[in-house]
Amino acid sequence: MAERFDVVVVGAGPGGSTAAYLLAKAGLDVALVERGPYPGAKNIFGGVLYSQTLNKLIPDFWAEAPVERAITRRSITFMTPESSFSLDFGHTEYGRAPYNGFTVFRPRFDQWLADRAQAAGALLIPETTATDLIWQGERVAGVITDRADGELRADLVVAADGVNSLLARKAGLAQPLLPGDVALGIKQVLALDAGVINNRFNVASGEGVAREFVGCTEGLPGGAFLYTNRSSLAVGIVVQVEALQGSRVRIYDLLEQFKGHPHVRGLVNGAKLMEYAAHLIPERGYRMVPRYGGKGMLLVGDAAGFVLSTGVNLEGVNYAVASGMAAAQAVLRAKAEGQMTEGSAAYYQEALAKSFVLRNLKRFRHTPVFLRNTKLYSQYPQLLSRVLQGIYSVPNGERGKVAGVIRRELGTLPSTISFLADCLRGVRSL
Amino acid sequence: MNHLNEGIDLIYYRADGRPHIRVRGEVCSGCTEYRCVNVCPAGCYLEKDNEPGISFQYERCLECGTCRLVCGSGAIEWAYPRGGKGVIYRFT
Repeated sequence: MAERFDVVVVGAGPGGSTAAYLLAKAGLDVALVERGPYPGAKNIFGGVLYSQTLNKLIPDFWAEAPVERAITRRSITFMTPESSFSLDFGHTEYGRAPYNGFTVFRPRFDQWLADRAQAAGALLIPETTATDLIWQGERVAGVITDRADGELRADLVVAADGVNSLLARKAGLAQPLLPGDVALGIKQVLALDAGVINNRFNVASGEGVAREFVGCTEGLPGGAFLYTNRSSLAVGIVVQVEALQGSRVRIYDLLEQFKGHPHVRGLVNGAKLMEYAAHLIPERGYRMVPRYGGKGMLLVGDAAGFVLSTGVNLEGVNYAVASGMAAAQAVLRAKAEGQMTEGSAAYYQEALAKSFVLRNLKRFRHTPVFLRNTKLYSQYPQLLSRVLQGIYSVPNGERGKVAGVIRRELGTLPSTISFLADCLRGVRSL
Repeated sequence: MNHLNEGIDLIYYRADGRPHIRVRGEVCSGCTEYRCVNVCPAGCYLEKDNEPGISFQYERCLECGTCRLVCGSGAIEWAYPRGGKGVIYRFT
């Protein structure tokens, strides 16, 4: 299989398949290497694909892509073991083109996108793990795979091999991941009748909700999520690894505890476990960003750390797609100038800097730091709960005004000043 | 652990005859932090009863890579399973 290509793309996730699709469409010889038996077999995410970026790549993709439900309601819920307070937003516009986001199953969606790359002429090579790089002097000249005679030579390698990107590290383009750079996410898919979901979540057929929860992780920085698929629920926990590694709290126990919360139990009741999965999420944002290209290699998607955590949204697939588009654009520009290997990295950097990928990561660069404040995950949800309880509980007697309740509860904090400082940081970060 | 095993039992694996992760017990037998045990979402790492060190089984690994980056003693040699092997997700 010692073959030669213009570009070898490693990893048939959204970033890799996007790059392969555009490069093949432009007439380049592209190999798309995937270690799973099919694209998406190794891939998991929370469950919501934000649609605007993919819509630029493949207009009206929802008409043919395997989407589950259009997300028309979003909410964030602050919890204590016995209470919950939600901010819930819905808009009918989210139920119409161009939509805002969809729940999808990655094993189906990623296959669909890789099929598009194949239809454009890319050669998909599944069941193949890229184990090392081929070097030609100072530059990468292809990848070594675990197939017999498994060398794939190319003018350029696109590393779209995910958060653990071994290739990025072998090329010296990324520092080793540290526990502070990532969060661990686990997820269960629970089968539930579509009609029951419609009733339980108050949504029309084909429409769904994405709910996030804070205060359900025993004080560890993280949260829970609950999304609706067509006839199943996606429910999971995300916790920062730096905190988890020193804790005796097991992440899978947090998930069971969350599902048993009095205000969640009724939502998941009777739903049958179909699948359990786990994955790392790069969460360091702009600060952990490595060099995105050089030595004949470009990094896209999770391999480059392109995940935006805004505190409200956790976005990854749209960043993978956007960086895959930027990579393809850079390669084609460099190739047109006859200097594909040398020119691609600089043009890629330029394209990223102009796109929302780097602009947003830079804009939200302080958010990951803010989100490491452990008070957000226990103390403040409890405070919020007491304030709301003070407002909603009707005593048989005198009652305080809202401002009075808030003042009283703030008085119970060890330091009002540090609370106000956190509020200010929150406003600046989010 | 019971609910974890219920989830693990449902996962479709294509067995790789050889481990893709190797834990060098001689390196980590003195470790008292057990970070690998704390983080592993599949329960691959377990503290041994009444003696130091951990027991490890790779067959239920979800390939997330968390153990690799938390181990402070460098005892974990981590790679992906061979192409086509390991965990195969259908719905996530």
